Order: sequence, then C-alpha cells, then structure tokens
Amino acid sequence: MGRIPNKNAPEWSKEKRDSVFLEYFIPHINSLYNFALYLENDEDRAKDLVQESFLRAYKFVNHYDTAQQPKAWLIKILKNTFINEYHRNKQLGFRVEFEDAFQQSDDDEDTHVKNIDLREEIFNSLVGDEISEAVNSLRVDFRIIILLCDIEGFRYDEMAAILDVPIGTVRSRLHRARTALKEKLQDYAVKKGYTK
Amino acid sequence: MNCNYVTEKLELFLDEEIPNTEMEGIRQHLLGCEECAKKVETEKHFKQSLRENLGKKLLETNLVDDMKEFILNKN
Repeated sequence: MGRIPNKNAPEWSKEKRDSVFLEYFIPHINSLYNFALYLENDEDRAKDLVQESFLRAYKFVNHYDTAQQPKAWLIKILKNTFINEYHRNKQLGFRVEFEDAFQQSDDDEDTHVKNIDLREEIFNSLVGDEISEAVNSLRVDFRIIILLCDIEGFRYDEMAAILDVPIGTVRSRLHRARTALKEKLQDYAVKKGYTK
Repeated sequence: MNCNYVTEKLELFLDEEIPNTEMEGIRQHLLGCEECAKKVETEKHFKQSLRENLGKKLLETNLVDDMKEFILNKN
C-alpha cells in the first residue's frame, strides 16, 4: 500500500491478469460499490466510479502484490479515481461544493479534543435513512474516514496507507468526523422531537 | 487512571488502537465507574448503528457480471 508503482513490474499474461482479477478483486465489488455510493450520492455515478476503478485495477494488476489486502488496494484506487474526477470536474466548474474537501488543512493535526455526549435514546429513535442522510451531509473526507473505519473495519495504520496521510492525521480526522456526525444526529433528533 | 483520561481515550479504546496495558487500565476503570461505563456503551451503540445502517446498500444490479464482461472481454 502506498508504494509508488514499479515501472519495471513484469508484464503478465492475460490468463494471469484475469485470474488475479477474478480471485482477488471481484469478491470486493459490493464493498466498493457501497463505498462509491457514499462518495457520489448517486447510483449511476457510483457504478461509473466502480467501473473506472476496476478498469484501473485491471490495467495495473501486475503491480498488485497478492500478499496485500486486495480490498485496501482497490479502495485506494477508487479514492484516487474519485479525487481525480473531482479535480477534473472542479476545473470544469462542476461540484464546487466540495471546494475544500481534499485540502490538507493544518487543523487535521489539531489535537484539541471536542467530545459530544450522545444520548442513548437517539439510536432507538433514528431510522437508517436518517443516519445515512447525516453521513451523506458530511464533507467527503469525513465520509471516507468513517466508512473506512466503522464500516470496512480498517485499522488506523491501514487507513493511513490508503489515504496517504500520517497516522496522527487519521486519528484527528476520524475524531472530528465522528464529532461532526454526532452533532448532525443530535440536530436530527432534536428537530424530530426524539430528544431535547 | 481518571475519568478525563478515559474520556479522552474512548475512541482509541473502542477502536483497539492503544497498547494492551492501557486497554486493560481502562477496562479496570470501567468496572468501578458507572458514568464512564455508560459513555462506552453509548459509543459502542453509535458505532454499531453506523455499521448496521451504512453497510446496507447492497448491490441489486448485476454489477459483477457487467464488470466481468466489460473488463475481461474487452481488455
């Protein structure tokens, strides 16, 4: 993970590429699609993103080391594909609402700890759609880190490799993402009258 | 180990991202501190709710077959 692709990686036969692709990559397609849906908020765009990412994975399959966790490798490709697409769209003037999403801000390393005390009853009241909606309303780098940790179950060092950031950044970004999500869930619960 | 320390380390504790000795110290604290134990339960519930609700968007279309067709037969 995180290594610069070796330009001298040996070429593989089509049989070997297909075999690795089918054995190591295809089983993770649902996870990748789920991940893409939370990035794109749109089924068609999510499918396109998965397709483009798998195409790249196939193209660079000879750089894949089967000792690596395939899902982490694929998610890294998908994340980079999404970012490239994001920058391309931004240049074209599209989707500027994510203006600051990928800027590595200094406050990522902010060690200030803000804790939100969630009320237990919120979870019994909020329905799945409300939780999904709250996650979708987070800035994209917050969405990504919550999905990597709480849905996909990656460890902090694995997330650091996927995201190309130091582990301290993973720790602080994850905390700020969860805090932002809790604030949104609290707001939902208050608006719906589930809690005061 | 006091309540402030445990609150500060709560996420790292639940993510199992601190050394075993600290994990054990927090576990010992939780045995005797009802308030911190309640916070841990709520945080666990938070994580569990995310897992249950966000992992649901399973693929209904036949993306696996589409992908095989698109990539393996055309490349």
